[in-house]
Amino acid sequence: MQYVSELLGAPVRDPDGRVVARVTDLLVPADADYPVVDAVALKPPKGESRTVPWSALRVLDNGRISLSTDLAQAPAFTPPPHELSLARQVMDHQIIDVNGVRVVRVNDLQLAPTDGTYRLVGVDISTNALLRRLGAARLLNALGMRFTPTAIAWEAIEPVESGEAGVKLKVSHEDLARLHPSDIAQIISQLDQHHVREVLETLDDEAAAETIGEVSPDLQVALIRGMEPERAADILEEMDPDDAADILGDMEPERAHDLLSRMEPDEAEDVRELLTYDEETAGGIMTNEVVTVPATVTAEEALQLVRRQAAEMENVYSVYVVDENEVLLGELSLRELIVADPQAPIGRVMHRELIRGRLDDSDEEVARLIAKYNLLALPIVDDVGRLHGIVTVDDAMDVILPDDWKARIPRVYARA
Amino acid sequence: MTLAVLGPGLIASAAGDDSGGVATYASIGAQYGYGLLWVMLPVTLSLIIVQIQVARMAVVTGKGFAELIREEFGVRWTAFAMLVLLIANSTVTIAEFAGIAAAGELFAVPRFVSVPIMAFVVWIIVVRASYTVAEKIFMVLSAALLTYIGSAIFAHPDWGAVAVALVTPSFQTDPGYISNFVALVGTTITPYMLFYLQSSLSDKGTSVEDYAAERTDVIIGSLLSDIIAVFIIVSTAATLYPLGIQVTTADDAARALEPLAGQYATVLFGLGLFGASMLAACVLPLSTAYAVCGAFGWERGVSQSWSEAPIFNGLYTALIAIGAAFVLIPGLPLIQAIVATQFLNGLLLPIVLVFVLKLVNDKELMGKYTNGRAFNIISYATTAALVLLTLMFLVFSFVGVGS
Repeated sequence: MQYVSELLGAPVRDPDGRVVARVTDLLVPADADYPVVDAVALKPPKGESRTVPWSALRVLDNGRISLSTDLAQAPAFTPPPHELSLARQVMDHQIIDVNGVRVVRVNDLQLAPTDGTYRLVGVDISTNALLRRLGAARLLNALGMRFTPTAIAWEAIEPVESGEAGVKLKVSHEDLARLHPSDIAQIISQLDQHHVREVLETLDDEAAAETIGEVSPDLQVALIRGMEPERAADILEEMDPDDAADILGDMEPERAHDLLSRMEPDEAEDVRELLTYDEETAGGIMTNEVVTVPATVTAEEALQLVRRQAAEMENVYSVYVVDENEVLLGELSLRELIVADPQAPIGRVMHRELIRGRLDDSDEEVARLIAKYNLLALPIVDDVGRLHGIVTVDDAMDVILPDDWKARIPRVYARA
Repeated sequence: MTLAVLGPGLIASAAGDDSGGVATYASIGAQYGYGLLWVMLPVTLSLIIVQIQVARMAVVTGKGFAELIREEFGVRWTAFAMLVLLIANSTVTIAEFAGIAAAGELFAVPRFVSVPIMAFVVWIIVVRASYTVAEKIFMVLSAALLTYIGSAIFAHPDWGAVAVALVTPSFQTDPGYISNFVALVGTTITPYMLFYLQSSLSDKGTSVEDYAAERTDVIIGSLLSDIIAVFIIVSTAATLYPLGIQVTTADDAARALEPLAGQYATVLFGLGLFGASMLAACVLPLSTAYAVCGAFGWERGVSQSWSEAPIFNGLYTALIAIGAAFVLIPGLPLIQAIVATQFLNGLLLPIVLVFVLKLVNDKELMGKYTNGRAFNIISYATTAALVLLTLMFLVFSFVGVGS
């Protein structure tokens, strides 16, 4: 196993055995699972760096690296479009460990000798690698302290670096995009914001909306604020109105108004309504996308109505029956609706005795009700009993249990 | 969060008026009158320049200082930089606990009682991450130190002499003077505040468009905190220096507040010193632990248990413990100890400045946002001046030149 740290700075000799340059970088294709080293950047003591193809070099049995011609006559290497510089862009930088759903820092890179060249196989993120590069590994090992090398296969990671300031390296985030939004959210919570924006650009609107919905409130606002307004509006439309309202509520009013005006009128309408409620009340945490059916239909007709509404909604497990003034009359679960006699009038199938919350109940009171009665969702009504929205159990949980990993490094202490 | 309303530049500068700042400014005014006042002008200029560079780095790269060092210079230099940061921040933590002890003694609470208790309180605040409430309390308390401004005015100093002193350089070659000089620089531009500024700005995700606003924030913050520093120096220079009273205890420093506060001088100073020290003590250990662990890729986060993030938890606990333990050394002269820590910070500052300069001038990293010539000249000059002062201090200490 060869480590990149051992190759960097290694002397390179000409055919006569004289040291003519040192290795300063290794280049690999960015899109291969286990790429082969294409080229090497060499710096002579005096003069400019040169990049030569690996084929111009030979690694001798004694470990020495030798050029097959003089340095001046060595062929030049033109890097293809998606080439990665290991020293400049990967070593010591952050990468995404897709399988482990985390962001880690590269302490060293593992190369496997293959057919006269090297293949990049893994990333070493262990403290052992740090100590080795400090030259302290042998010392500490001798003292009996051993740290296990921890390596991640190269194909399981996605580099994060984007190259020089202003120049973006097109890094495919296919693997990342396949993860569950909560996992993507966990990863981007560990990245700095420049990189987060890159990652979000590669997700479609729906995936981006789901991911943003899962990160901490501070980060949500920062991300939406930093986006192109049209895209931000598209993403906000994809989100549940209560999540969108939370984000817009924490933003500067002018910005929020601008984004609302770019959204579909219906969606914007829903969000605007939710924004009128205080954050820590039932109105502030509820969503106003609710499946409702009139009291006059049969079970069969109700099911058809539900089908039409369900395409756009998150929670369709409870169907609410309302009169022509939107007053809540009863509710039934989707299951009950499915097993009911299709011709039965809905009034006979629904439950009339309901637990309900009021718009101005505190969010904690609502959470308590949901917990006490084991509800999936709690309908929220106003003084005259009109249904305004529902609080779903996941939002109730957010009130009671702040997610540990969502609590980003407090701004006071921030990043290294 | 009150601090979030103020910009990071303001906060980082406010960090300069902590116990280290107060003790250093107060004792310099008492010992040298207006003699070292002129240093505040070039130091303030340097402070603004270096903070702007740090802010620019944060905005252009989006990364923290330690992270940049790791990515651009590799593991060995990072180890060196983190060692410097650890030493610098440990000494500042010591200074904060010394401030707490000194404030306690003003209220007749012996240090063997105040320090362990407050060390434990700091630890709890850190572990519970309940800094928001604590922060508000301590900010309010530390505002008591603004009385220095009023006191300076009420002491009726010769403002003409002050103005002249501000622009008239003078120098003495005795090691004591030089060490106070370096301490003055080290307490106004602490290594800690540079790391902290870049951390908070890069975390905010400030974009290049908002950079101008952040720059203004930094400038205003630096000016404000250095104006307060000047007032502290003037107030002790006007009240204690004529009487030949040095600032050896917090009591002495408090006396300078008498023109405005009369009999309440001690109470005000005590509360202010306590608030300022606690504010910094709650932030420093954690900020250092985050920086070091982030640079080396170790697990970090206050919600992580000891087994999940051993080094992180160990680091901030150790910093608190060391800070507190050092202060409990029997007979430690608190104010002198605080000034000594600021002197040490001044010695370490050139190292940090060189890192800043190397990074901010790297075209690959910063694109077109590298330094202009003026910025480079000023920063290199500051670094050179500090190194020169350090050498003079060593040489003159050995040779025994004194006045």
